[in-house]
Amino acid sequence: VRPGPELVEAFLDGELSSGDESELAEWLNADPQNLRSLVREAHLHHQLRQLHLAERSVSQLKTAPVRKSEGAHGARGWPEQLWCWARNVSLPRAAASVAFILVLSVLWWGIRNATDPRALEIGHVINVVGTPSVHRNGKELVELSAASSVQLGDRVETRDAESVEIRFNDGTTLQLHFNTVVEIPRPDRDRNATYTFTRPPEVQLLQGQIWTVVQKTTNGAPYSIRTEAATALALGTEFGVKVDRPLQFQSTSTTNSGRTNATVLTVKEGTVEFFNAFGSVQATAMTESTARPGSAPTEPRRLQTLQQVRSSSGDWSVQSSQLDWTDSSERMAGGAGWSGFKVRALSASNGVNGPTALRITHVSANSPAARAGLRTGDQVVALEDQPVSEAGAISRAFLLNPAKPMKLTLRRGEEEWTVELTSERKSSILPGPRLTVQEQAALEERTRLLTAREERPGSQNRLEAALQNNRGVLLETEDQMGPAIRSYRRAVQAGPEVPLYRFNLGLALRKIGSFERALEELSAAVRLDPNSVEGRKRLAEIRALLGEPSLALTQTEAALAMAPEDHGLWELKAQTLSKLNRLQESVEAARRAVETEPGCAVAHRFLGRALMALNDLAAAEIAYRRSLELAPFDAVSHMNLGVLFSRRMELERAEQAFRRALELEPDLVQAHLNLSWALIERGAWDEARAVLEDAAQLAPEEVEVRAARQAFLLSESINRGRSHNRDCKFSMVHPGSW
Amino acid sequence: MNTLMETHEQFTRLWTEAHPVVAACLQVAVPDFHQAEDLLQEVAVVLLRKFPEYDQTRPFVGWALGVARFEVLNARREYARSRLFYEPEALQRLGEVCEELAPELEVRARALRECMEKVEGRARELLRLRYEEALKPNAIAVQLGLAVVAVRVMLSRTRASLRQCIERTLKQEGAQ
Repeated sequence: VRPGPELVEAFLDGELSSGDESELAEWLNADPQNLRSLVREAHLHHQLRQLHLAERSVSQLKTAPVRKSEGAHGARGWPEQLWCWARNVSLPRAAASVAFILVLSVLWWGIRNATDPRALEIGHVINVVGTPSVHRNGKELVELSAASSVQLGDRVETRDAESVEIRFNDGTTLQLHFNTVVEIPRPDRDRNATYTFTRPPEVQLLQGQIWTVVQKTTNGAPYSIRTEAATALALGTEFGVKVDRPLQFQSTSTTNSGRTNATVLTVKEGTVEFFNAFGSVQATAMTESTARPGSAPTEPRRLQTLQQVRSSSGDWSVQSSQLDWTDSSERMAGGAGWSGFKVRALSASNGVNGPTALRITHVSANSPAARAGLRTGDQVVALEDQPVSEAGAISRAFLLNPAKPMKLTLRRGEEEWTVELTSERKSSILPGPRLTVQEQAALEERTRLLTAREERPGSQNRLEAALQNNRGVLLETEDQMGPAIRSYRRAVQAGPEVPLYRFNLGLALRKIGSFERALEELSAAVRLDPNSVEGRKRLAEIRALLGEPSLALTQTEAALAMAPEDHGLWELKAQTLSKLNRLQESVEAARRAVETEPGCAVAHRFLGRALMALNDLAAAEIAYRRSLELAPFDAVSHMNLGVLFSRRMELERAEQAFRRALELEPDLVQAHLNLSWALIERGAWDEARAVLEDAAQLAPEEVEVRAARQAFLLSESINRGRSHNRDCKFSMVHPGSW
Repeated sequence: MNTLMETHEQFTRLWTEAHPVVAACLQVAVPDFHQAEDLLQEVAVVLLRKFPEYDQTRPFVGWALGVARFEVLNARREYARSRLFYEPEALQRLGEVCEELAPELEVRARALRECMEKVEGRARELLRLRYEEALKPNAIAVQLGLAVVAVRVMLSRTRASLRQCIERTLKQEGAQ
């Protein structure tokens, strides 16, 4: 009798005889677990099949132009065939030789002309950041530089923090942002003599984001950007196209139905025809439309600003806040100075208008800043008796001068005074390179002399790698993510075994939305330093970000076992538990976060939210108010307080809180939705409609926004014009907190 | 955006999640890859057509498996060479087990992707022939000039090491 697992394998491999089948049936009936094993095994087979099919389609996609060029060179095998043919028809040997040489000459001439680069040239590179690659005729050209030619049939790829700008022969420009792949297909009819294009008829965007400015010509050939989901056809316009990568980690690579990368078209000028098999829309200036496989592009929505999509090489669509120096001190190789306060340029009047000033936005408990009496809201006037207007200047001074007393002039109301503040020397959060005392001294000295603008070539030298890392940190404090990522990458290349470099690169990649790459680097950092609490915490954060709260929770708990006093971990735990709807535990975790770090506003906010979920509104209000005491500029806390008021039907206070949140953060979609709710409650339909429209422009694809709009239309048709009667009033999406 | 498109989007989202479980279940009922894939396509079309009848308070995967069961029953004369899952009761039981294992299978799939990166050389080629080309061990043996038994053993060992790797990964994730 063959063992069950063996029978299962034979069954799924289609090699089970009828006798074996009876044995398998018996085995399955013997224990209910056996059927489960069979399903698991079938799932393994199915997944293996899907992985291999996905791999094949990806490799076909990637090698498409390579295959084309192999086809062009395929004539090399013909001489042998011709020789055989000549012999087979029994021509005299001499005549066959002459014919063979003649045919060979014609072929050689043909191939030479067909691959003449001048005939295929379609434009030039005018700007390069990093070392993007071009694949041509099956080879990778690594020496891409300004003025390099671009040909029909090329595939151009950028990686993290790289970009390329190409100018086609008619003046049309095409800019590739980071992690972008485009192909410029060579039309079949070009094989003869029609290489007269001044710009490619089509550019295929396989991944990432491009921006193109099209030369306006009256008789220009059609020019289009094609993606998996749709095609954007332009005639005299300026627009960008991006392929949105799915957020869920690796969710789409294995199934046909899962290839749901959306394509987003953004038009700045002119008109673009945006279409796929399911429909077509015309997008005009300052609009954006989204296309998904299986459905027509959405109606273009009006944009107020292109800031987020139009990111040139130095202007990244950063998804999280700028690195501040309280964090940067722990990310420098060799460590750096830490004073424990955050500073931001804010309006002087706690609103959106008015002159800006540098204000303290956070003071950590038990920090040098706290001991020196700094408080949130204080204005920083001068450093070392010199007036300052840039937060970065303060950052740099304290960061690079650990343990050195420095004078800081502050203003609180009418009062102005000077304190002497000495930053603590912090060691790096993850192990950095092992440096000798002399190297450490040299590193500090050279870091102080670093200028952020200076590009440094890669080097295998240990000290140079540390400098690359430190330069990356300084660039990140200035929010220059592109150059920062390049510096970190050079550091990783020179010191792949240094956990700190991997960690820094991973966090920077996360900031530009490259989550999967970030996960790789952070995993590497944790592999190199398994005891790193911070590394595990960041891994957990990425897991949470990728919609995997269970995995995030297990990682957080593992990190908490090593660092039970880390308030950030308790906050993360509270957040993930709340996502998993384990509300009571979430409150307990949030309480631990507050106990561990009573000065952390976010911890109080999480506690407030968890308490509100449990309907303990009184305790939640205390937590929110405490959070706002510590961080009065936090829009989310204002919004959450508004939600709390709305629960108590204190509508006026709720509306006021939502408006305050929007003043502080005009793009906060949830606050728009909440405000519209408050407005409807007091019957201000037109104003509510306008607020909802704003929300729809900010996030047209958000399920909550769409649901709120639909509910609004429905309820408006039922309730508008009636007296204010709550019993027959609709129930719209209730305000939500964060 | 109109309602039809929303319905389509909602369906696509739910189906993307449920698809691997339904596919695994069909793989048991119909072990041949091509036949199982054809049947899966049919199931998807039927699900989309019947989507307005779907009760949103119930799990989508359970509903999809129920529909798939009827499709297998309808098509069993065409596809089912094996009698193992020919009877409605057997299919019912299979569907229940699949639904029960759905969350676990999702995690296993992710672990498998990581584990596959470690498979190289001859084992990788064998997997490619079996799963990309959908060749059975006999055909693989002919193509590689090996004995069928050797192919079976190598395939079995490769899959066993993948299974071990999946278990290990899941344990590590659990521990992290």
